[in-house]
Amino acid sequence: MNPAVETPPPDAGLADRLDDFIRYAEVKRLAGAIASLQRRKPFRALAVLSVEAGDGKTLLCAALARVYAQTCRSPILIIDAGGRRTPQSLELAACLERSPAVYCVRVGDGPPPSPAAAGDAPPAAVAPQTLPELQDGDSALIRQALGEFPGPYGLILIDTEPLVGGGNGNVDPVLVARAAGAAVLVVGRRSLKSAALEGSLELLRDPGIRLLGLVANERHGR
Amino acid sequence: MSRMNPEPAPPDVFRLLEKHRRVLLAGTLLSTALAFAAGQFLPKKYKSSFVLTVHSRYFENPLIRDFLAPVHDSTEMRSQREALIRQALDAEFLDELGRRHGLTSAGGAAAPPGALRRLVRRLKPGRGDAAAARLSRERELLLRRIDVQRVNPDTFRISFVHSEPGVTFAAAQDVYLQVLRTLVASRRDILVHARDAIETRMRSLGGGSAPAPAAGAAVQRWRLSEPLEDWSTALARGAGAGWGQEQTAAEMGLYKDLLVKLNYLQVALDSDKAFQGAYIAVLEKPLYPAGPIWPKRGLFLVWGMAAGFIGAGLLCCLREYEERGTLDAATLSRRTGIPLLGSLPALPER
Repeated sequence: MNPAVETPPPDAGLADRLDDFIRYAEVKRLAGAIASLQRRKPFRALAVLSVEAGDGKTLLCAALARVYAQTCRSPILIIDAGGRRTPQSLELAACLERSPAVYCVRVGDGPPPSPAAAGDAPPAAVAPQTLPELQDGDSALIRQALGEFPGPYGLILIDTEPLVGGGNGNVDPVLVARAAGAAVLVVGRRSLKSAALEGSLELLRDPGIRLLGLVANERHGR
Repeated sequence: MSRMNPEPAPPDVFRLLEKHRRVLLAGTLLSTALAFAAGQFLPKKYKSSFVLTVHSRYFENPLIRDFLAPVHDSTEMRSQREALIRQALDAEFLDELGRRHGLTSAGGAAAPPGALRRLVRRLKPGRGDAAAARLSRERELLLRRIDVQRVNPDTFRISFVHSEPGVTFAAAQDVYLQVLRTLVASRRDILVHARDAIETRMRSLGGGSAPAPAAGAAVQRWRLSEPLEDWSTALARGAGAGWGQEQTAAEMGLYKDLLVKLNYLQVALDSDKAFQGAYIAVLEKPLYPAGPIWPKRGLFLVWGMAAGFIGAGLLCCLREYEERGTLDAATLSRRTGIPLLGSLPALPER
């Protein structure tokens, strides 16, 4: 994890729990399925979407990044484009404390250090930056996030805003999904009961979005 | 670059209608078809009616106002009108009506009761005369076919309902004639009874108060058809028959008064006979039914469509509620065709 980004104090318990979490066969199977799809039709970035907040996007990003890094032995970049935080939201920094091959950057931060330099001494801390001014709207941020980050990342995961709600200057998840090479939709209990579910699925039928599939997170009761 | 409504959208009614359009359409069509079939095959009812007005003059006669007080209270007149009409529908008339049109078994040999009815009778002892009970029931059912409706305080619409148009028309005509006959007869009967009473009194005055006449003496009876004789002649005759002077003077006065009233009554009777339409007006005579009053096909079709749409709509709401309540990722994947890549286990607790 990029130590240059100022994050809240890491929750050691959360990292331990994630360690247990990624040992589950379901997680490995899921990572294998995504890897298989990536081999079939390569994509560089994967947008993780959900209809409602609290469906498990961050958890999926963290778990997927950990398993991907272990199995594919390639660095993974997670771009945190989700501005909204609830008290129950997971902190990526806390999740990825023990994951040296996983890099995390928030939208608006500067580019992460190149993974090639990760084997050397840890990079110097980079002061957090505020969100740049939107000159071309969200496209500028997306281009910056996907096209300008250096480094041969095995996969770039983008933790997005929920499809319902949001705004406040955060990046539009639909635009992120279009810009990314592929997307997955996490469906939790809240999404399945949401009145906006059908409307959201309709949005994702956009021909510019390559929706790989659904990831169920029904056991997590939020 | 637009986003969808950031707030959770209210249930999209039009989208739900589009989603369940097949169920709604099928339900509406099925219900409409059933309603159409019901309109075709349900037993039909035909109605024939007549409207008549009973004027206030029916209850008045200036000629006899002194001894037959007219009715002035409107409520009482209204009640009397309706009572007179219903009075026409007595048991005798109903039996005759039922016999003529085959609506009752009155007067005919009763069909032997079936086994079930015999069993019911055994189980319910003490029912009395079964034939009388059956007749009474038939009369009641026949009376229900006749409807008396008050259009306004002095006008009534009387209808007859049956499943065959020919029977409906003929029965309505019979009821019409019976009501008219009853109204005319009731008024005439009042006058006739008063006349008869006066006549009887006059006869008693002519012979009752006098000593018993000698055998062979002719008792003068004043007949209505005979011209009124001179009083003096009458008195003389009475005196000759043995009347006393005191009796004669008092009774003569009474007799004179009664004779005057009798003449007025006769005038009233003759006048009624000649001008019966003066106090009863028939506004509408019975007509042959043009069509059934029930079932109304157009109304049934509308009801069928509405019931089908509402019923199908409720069914769709239940299905939608069940879908939303029991939807899982696998079902969602199946419905939308989006592959289910996998599922996340529960994050271990601390």
